[in-house]
Amino acid sequence: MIGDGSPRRPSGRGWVRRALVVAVSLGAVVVAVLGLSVQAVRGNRKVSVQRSALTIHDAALDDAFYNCIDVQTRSLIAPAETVQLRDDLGDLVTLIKGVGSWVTFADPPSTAAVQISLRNNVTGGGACLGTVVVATYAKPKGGVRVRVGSGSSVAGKGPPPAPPL
Amino acid sequence: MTTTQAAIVAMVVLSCAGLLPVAALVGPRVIAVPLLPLGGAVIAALAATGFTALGGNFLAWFVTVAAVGALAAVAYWMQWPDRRPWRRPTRVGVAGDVWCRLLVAVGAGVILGTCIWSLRGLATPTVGFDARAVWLMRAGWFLQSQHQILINLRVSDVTLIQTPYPPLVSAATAVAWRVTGDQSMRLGVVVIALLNTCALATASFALVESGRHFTGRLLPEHRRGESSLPDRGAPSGGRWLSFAPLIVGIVAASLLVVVAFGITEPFMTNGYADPIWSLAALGAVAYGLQMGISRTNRGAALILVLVAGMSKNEGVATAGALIVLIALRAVMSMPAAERHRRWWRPVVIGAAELMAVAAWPLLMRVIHARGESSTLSPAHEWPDRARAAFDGMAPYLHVILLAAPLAAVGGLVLSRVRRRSGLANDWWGWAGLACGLAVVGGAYVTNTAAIAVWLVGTVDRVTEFPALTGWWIVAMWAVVASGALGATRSPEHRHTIDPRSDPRSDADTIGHSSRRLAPTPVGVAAE
Repeated sequence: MIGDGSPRRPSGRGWVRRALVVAVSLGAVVVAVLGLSVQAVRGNRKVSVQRSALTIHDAALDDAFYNCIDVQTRSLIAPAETVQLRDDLGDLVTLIKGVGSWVTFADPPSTAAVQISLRNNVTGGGACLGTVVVATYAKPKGGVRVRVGSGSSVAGKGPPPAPPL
Repeated sequence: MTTTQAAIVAMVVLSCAGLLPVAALVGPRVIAVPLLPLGGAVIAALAATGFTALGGNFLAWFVTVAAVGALAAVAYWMQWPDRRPWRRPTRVGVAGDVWCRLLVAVGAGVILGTCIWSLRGLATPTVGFDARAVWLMRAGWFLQSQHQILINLRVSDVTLIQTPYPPLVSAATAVAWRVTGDQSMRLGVVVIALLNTCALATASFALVESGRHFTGRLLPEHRRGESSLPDRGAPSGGRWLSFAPLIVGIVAASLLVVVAFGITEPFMTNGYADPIWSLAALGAVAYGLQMGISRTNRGAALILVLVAGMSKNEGVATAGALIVLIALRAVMSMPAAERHRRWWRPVVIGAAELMAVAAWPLLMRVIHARGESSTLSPAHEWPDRARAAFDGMAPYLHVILLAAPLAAVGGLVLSRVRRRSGLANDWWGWAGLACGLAVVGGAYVTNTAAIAVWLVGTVDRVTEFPALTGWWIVAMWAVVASGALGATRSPEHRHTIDPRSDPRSDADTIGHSSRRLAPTPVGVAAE
């Protein structure tokens, strides 16, 4: 093409180059769109898994468990009371997940008014999948030094289903 | 208030906070809509940083930072009245304008519909492990006192070393919790999922805008002396070829949305921070490294790179690298004379962005937050760790096997077509992808954590950004290649703008670079 936009008859080599460009471009469009489409089908399937019955069940159970931990802890301490979380690593993480957003961590931990921990493999009612929250008070409350949380329960045995990491 | 109502309120509050700054940076473009809440999330992150550093009340900080942003936008418009979003730019009419606008609107609707369809996983009330343990848990910390949050970030009880991670996700959730009174994990998950979707919609729409831009370059201009009104009639048979990039852009964008959901789920809808930094970084690559140089594209890239850099440690490092690349591209794309006088402008802007991104990590070091010291693994372990990292990441990066040959063939045969499209050289996109790989790979190689276990728990998330960028490169080549037939049939415009000769070229309401009647050599290459 020349500068003023009017076409001129292309040379033979120009025809070949143009045909090559058109052929390659058509191929590129087809390959790219095909690749995207195949991956989109796989992606759509992965999204559908989120709506499977098992995923919904596990999510509901997980939610119920941590809500239970939260309610039981709130029955033992007020948000402003300083706490220390005392437990093995697994239960410590469970407590952080359940109540870490609102409890007042003590600094240093030895000055905490309450120590919070979990007791597992609890049979009978009043437990969250077999787990209860236990509070040990630095100063006895109502003559009681150790109390077990209440106000919520989830039937069954724990731990809750492991979510994807 | 139901969770849905609370989520709507939260998104409206975030959008209001981001309204004026986003309008100043991006102007009246379609992408301003999804960028509004993301701008508000950046403001929330800045507020969280200020609150943690200096004390006070988190919500007061949020309102103050939002007010400062609004005042800055007003001052900007007073300084440059021609950049006020309600002032329509003058531009040369392009044949087929009405059809272009219609197709762009269709594209926006298609992306919106695809996002809504793909969000069906959000109906399942999943809360991910990291969401409960870190991202949403920390949102409650911002609603306590500054004294308490400093304790929380250092006390030994909270053993998770990820708690000092950047604050955007937690801060946005804290805003939602405070303004609605609904302090539930479910609300936090919904708000984060909506922010993720906004970032994805913005990045995907770049394909539509690229197609629109290319189509505009292929359609004939009106000659001088003719009516300046755009041609309202249907384009003739040959001109329909010119619309191929826009149509392919719409198709590619909708496919990319579904692809992205597939790559990021279940983390897209369970409260994790990985999708938002990955999708925002993808958007930064799209607007900062691939689309034409314009002030509003740089504005969109700025917002997205801040979102990425304030969300997670991997996002901090990747955003830092992208900021450098974007500044470098801005300097290199300047005409020689202007580069000599104004090379410092992109550098200063990049430095300011780096300071904003680095503020929270530096604060964590100053207060000696948990997990902020790191040790390196011995150098003799690096080859084995690198091999393990490669084996672990490779299954998630198969897209490179498609994107690389496509880019190679495109670079060899379609380079003129790509220059005609007005898009940047493909190498900038690959540089962005490489940065993402280097950040993640470098962490795996040099850290002391047991690599096998570490890979199992993280590799599907940390490879989201490079995988998404690979698919974006594939989609972009589809847009470019689709314009080849139109490019070979239609002449280059005499007055087609060369971005290097007019650095003040700007995008109009639908992202098409405005054309100025300036003497420009025909067929001058872009970058």
